[in-house]
Amino acid sequence: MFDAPIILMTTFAVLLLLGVPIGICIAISSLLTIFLALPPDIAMFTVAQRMFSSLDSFTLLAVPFFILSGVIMNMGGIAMRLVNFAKLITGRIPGSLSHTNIGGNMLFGAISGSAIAASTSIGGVMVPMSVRDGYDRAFAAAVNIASAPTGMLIPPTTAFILYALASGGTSVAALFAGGLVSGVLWGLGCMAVTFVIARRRGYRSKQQIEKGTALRVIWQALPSLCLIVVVVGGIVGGVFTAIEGSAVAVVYTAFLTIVVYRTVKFAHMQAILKQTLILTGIIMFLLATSSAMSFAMSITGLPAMIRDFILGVSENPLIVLLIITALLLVIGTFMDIGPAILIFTPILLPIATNLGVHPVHFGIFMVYNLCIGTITPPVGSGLFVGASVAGIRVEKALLPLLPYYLVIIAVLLLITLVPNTTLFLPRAMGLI
Amino acid sequence: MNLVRKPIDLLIFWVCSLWLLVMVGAACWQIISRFYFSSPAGVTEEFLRFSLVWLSMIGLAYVAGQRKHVAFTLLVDGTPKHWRRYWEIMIELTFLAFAVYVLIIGGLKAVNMTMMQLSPALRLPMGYVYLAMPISGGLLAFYSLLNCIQLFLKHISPAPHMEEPSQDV
Amino acid sequence: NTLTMAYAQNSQPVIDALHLLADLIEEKTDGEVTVNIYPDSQLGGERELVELMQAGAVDITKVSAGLMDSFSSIYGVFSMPYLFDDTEHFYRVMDDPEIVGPVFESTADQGFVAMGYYDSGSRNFYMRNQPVQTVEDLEGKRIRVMQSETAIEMMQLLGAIPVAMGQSEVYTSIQQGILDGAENNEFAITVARHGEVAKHYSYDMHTRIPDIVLIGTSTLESLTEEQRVAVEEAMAESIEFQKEAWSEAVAEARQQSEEEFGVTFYDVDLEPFQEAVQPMYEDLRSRPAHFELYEQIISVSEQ
Ligand code: NA
Ligand code: NA
Repeated sequence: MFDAPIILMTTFAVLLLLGVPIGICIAISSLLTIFLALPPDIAMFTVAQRMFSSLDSFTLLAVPFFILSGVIMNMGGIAMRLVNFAKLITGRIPGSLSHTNIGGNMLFGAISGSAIAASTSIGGVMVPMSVRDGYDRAFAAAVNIASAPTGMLIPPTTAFILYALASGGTSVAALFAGGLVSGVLWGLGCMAVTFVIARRRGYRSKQQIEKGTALRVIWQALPSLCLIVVVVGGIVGGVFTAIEGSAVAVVYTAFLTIVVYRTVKFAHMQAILKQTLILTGIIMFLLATSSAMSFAMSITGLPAMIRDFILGVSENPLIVLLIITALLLVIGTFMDIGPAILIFTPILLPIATNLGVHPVHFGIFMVYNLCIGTITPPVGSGLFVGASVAGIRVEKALLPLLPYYLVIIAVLLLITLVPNTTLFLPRAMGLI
Repeated sequence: MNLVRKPIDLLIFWVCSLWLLVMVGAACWQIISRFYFSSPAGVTEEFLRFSLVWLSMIGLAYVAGQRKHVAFTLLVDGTPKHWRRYWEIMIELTFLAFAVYVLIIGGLKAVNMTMMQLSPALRLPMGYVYLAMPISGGLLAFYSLLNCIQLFLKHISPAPHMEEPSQDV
Repeated sequence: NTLTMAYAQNSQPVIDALHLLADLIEEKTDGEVTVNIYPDSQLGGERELVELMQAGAVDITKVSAGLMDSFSSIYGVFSMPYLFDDTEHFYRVMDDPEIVGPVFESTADQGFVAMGYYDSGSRNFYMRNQPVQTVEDLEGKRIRVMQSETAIEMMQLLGAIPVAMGQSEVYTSIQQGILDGAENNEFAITVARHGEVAKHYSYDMHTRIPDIVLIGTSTLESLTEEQRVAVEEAMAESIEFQKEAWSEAVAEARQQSEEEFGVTFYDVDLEPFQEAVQPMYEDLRSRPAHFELYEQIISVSEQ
């Protein structure tokens, strides 16, 4: 019954272990799976079409733009000034830079609604800075990867809007309120893990910044801090969207480093652009081919198989929810979050509501689940992007990610088994 | 061999870089125009989306030329350098297969089919936008063949992934 | 013979009508032709589905006439503002094979034709702060439009600032104030929950853009004469079913909007709106085929 997923996963795993680049592994295994359902020439066309339509996206513009502004910030010393400022604020808390990264991802992810935008813009700055401060690069990457999806849970976020639509009109405001709780819990969980690991490894600021230099640190960071004011303020104030904000960030950082600080010279431009181009090429290749995988799963009939499978298993709501959890974790592995919500909500929601699960609870549960899928191997956009901006190979991030996976899953079990965790806030606000 | 590679590298690099800067400008223009003029914002939005397709597709071929695409190399890292060289040639051939079957054959089918389909805002035949696929495929095929030849001639190292790309400058 | 039917995101009446169409095709061909359905964007959005149809991977799909403009510009006439007087006029036009027949056949050289249409209601303005009751109320307001030349031009002539963006961004853009309002049918208020952030809905009924049901030309050729007749009959029955289902669902949505979301509905005097967009009809004269279709459409108007 599950021959299509088996072919897909087997060819993918074999190619991956043989050292074939991940984008090619995804494309070829998807192509072979699509061969099961369509003639070869049409299958080749559909993979090309899928890659094309996933790149034909206004949201993804944030990727090259935030990468560019991040590289400029790193090379031009903006990042350094911001980090000194962050150190001043967070002081000698173990892993203060990592906490800053998590907080940054939550804040920026909240505003932009894009985990990829958050992990490229915040992580692109914080990871190199953490490394310079003596943190292990893989650990710094893991912190960034693990906390990036919080922005897809903390409102405003497209995922809940898609869910509201696909579920036939669940309250967006209620989903936002409940999503806020789940996203904050996810972020706090990551901070707790970071605290423990950082204290054990002794990741603390080496020197306490003295009173006298504190003012200088603030003064130096001021123009850089204005970047945050401009970008975040512009988005919140309705001047531009988060995606357009990425272009504003490029212009602002370029202005600051070329004109104000004069740290970026013409000779640096080539290096900046080259690094941007290469990172963009790496990330977009993975995002484009991943989208072909979603199609491969649909055309071979996976959604219908999953529906039949769940209906045949159990009547106990708890067991059904746990089975759905397991399935969504797997689905999140080879499907983009948007299509997965549109395709699986109509299939899974009736099953859940029949068992007495509240649609708002189910929506939060489902989006949370799919968010996990974006940072788990073998395929995950958040994982790929986070590893790329940190400049490490994907497999190197996995070991330090392990404790984070555990705490994220623990929060998942909490919100699954205790519906009031996420439902109390929308209830208190009178939304449900 | 580098006489062939260098000019192509440089051409792609500068075209893509300038294009990226134009895209930044266009995105800013979109913000300004929405506030001060009632100009059809759909045009810049569409221009930016299509540019992203082209930039990404050409970019991925460029990255393949630099052999910087991410791979899981834990298992093959241990193989002797001699064998690794032939193994890397095999991997370059998977790029070639992908370029030919998906990007060139699949992409050209898409181009042919969508020449009569016009984009909503720019009224541009979608076939021209889809052209990014076969052109990227052509460049990718060129680079993977070049990498094969240079690997075989021992002009380039078989293990490009061994050193971490440096992030901090 | 098994046909592949695929559709993107849709409202319930359209989904029900498509499933009825599939059932009727099987029934009327005594099971000789079966239909395999891929629902809910499983195979992609509407543009991708048309391309899959051209490639031969999909046999039947349903897309908006707005998208069809990309494939055959004559469909663009259906997006013209204040074109239809009312639902009756709309049905009279769309059910008239002499008017829509040539339009439906116009994409035959691209590998597909239309075999029918579904009602997708009227599109109306809904606003965050103040209702639209006169053309002046739109002055300088940022309104989300679909990615379409016609929609953008209409909005400019009415004095508003058109903002083209994806449907999924509209909710938060209204909430944050990037948009002052949007325009769509009543389901945007209820199913997409825009009623949570926009409370003023004005029935100016500027467009009635039909949904179009497409079938591949090679699919049609693969059917026998009797099977083709059966498919046509099935289509006709599903169209009649959809009209009923649509008007019931819209009435329910309106009631729900008022009771659950506290949305106020306004009726507006249409004449000033119609006058404001007249330049678009003047421009239409330069495109003879389009203008002819327009004249045919207004010739069956009763007003
Ligand atoms: Na968000
Ligand atoms: Na995953």
